[in-house]
Amino acid sequence: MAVNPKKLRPYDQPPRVRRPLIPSRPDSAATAFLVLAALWLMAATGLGALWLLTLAFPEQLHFEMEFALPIIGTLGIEYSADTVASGFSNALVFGWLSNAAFAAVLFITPRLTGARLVGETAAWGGMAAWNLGVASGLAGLYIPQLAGHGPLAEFPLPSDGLMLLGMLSVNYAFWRTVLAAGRQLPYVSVWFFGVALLASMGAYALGAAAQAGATFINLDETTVALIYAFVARILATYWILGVALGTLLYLVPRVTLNALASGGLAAAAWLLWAGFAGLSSIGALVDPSVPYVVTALGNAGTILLVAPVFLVVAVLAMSMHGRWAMALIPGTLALCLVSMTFLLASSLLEAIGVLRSVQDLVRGTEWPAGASLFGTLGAATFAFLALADHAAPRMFRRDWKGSLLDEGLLWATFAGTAMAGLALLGAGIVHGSLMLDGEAPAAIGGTMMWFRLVAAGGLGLASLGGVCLLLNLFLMYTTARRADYSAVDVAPAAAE
Amino acid sequence: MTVRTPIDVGSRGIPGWAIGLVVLVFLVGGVYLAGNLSGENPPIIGAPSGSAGAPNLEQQARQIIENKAQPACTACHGDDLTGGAGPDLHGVASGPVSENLQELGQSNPDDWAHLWIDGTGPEVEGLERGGMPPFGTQLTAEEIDTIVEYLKSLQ
Repeated sequence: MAVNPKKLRPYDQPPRVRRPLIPSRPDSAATAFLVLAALWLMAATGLGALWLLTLAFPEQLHFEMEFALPIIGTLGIEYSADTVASGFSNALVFGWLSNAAFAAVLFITPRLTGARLVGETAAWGGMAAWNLGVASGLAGLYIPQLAGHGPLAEFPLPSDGLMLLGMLSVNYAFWRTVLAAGRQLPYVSVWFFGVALLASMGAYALGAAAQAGATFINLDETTVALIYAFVARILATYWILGVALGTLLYLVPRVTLNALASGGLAAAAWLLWAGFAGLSSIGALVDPSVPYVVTALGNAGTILLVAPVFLVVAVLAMSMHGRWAMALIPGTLALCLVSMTFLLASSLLEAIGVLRSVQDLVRGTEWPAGASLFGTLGAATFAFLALADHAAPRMFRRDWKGSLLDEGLLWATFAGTAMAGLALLGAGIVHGSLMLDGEAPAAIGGTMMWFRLVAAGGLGLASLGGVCLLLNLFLMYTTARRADYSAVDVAPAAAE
Repeated sequence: MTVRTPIDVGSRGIPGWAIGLVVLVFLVGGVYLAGNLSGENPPIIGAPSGSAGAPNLEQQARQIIENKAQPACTACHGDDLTGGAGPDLHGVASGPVSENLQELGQSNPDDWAHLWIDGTGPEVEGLERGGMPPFGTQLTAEEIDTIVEYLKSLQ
């Protein structure tokens, strides 16, 4: 029964609207993932700047302390270049990129399958589990008794378990939605998401199993380290790269209102990516116990991975025909274009990095960090920033025309990433050359300091981009007027 | 609520240039693989992370052994220092292996290896060097220390 508030008597109360604890409106889980991703972006880039400052001043910025706890006993805390480096890479990949990737999957899939997301609540649960796992894992990195060793898999077992639960929940929501839609051949982005989600869940389960093996059955240290390296590579090639490619393949045709130039090319790119990403992961198995030819085969996979990346960039560039001027204005298409450029650069850099002579020169230097920065903070970050630019007004249901912060976001993140990436790549080459000349470590450290300071400045700038993103989302939600996008979205692309 | 927003897709075929590009990349990958069929991977445990700020002991020592010392130590002792024209250098931590160095090892148990590699001090005067040059004329004391530390780590 409708109640007219004007006719209420003083002792009457208007009927209360019961709100569920977990929102279930469309896109609510994707929105939560995106907002958390923005927070993680700022935190991750801030940690990155701190890492490089710690490298530049290792003695001044290093401390260890111990304190006694009643039941647990003595617990140590270590702050050093290594712990901050782990914090940076984990916050970047698991905090920013993974949350943004989840948001992309949950936002785009319903729009491509034509069915509302099944399991919105499960996705919410996944969001809570994932972020709790990441936050507790990051805290654990600074406690030597809890921290593991390995790229991107250093979290304690309980944190790994929580993150695996999160990954499982999002997989559940995605596959239920795709299967419920019953479409035989959904758009190619869904193929990318499907393989990326399955591969990363499998890899993460493998990493957690290795962690459990190391804890409970004293699994050989070398085997554990090899598994960690393999998992980290799968996360980079399948999870981050795959979702970024799928997101770009959705955004460019959507924003330009053009058709995807060639479905065959996109399908071929997907097929090549699905095969070579796995092959490339084998290249991470670097140890005398692994036959050299196996590692070389994996490295050949990294070179071959250039092909699908080039094909995706080509099909996207072809799909932008007649709309190139849109890329001159800060917005979704400009961000997509920057992402495509970084994609090409990072895939080429990775391919160059596996050449034996290059590996011999840059092993143990800053080069791998620089090349990886082009892929993570460059290609994938800009793909997800483009998603945020396109999706946030639709998630918040706001009529948003953009603000000056869009310019800040684009330029600060672009300049910061380019500066940090180039400084680290340059540092790697100089560092390797100095080692070849047999230069003393103290002299190398002095030369490297300047490169590291420039890179720290770059990551600081990128962190400013994270602030712009958060402020933009806040302003959009609080100041823009409400709008309904579902009808708007259907209209332009109804040509199917 | 259904929120379907389909995307139109153009041709289903694959352009010729794309096939050419993929073939080219395959060729590059194949050439790489053919040129890297043999070799040995470095150990994953203790591998430098790039964040340590300075090369580790093995890297520093290998740079000196392979590039700075002339002739390179590996030229006589082998790439993996297990011996060649010169003796096997594994097990240096437990003392000198060669007969001619036993006395030096007893009189200078802590720094016999440094003195031997240096080769310019009075302690090694008159010892048969078997063609090994006195590296003290081309390497600094710190560099020789680095080599000794590395050799002691070889089992």
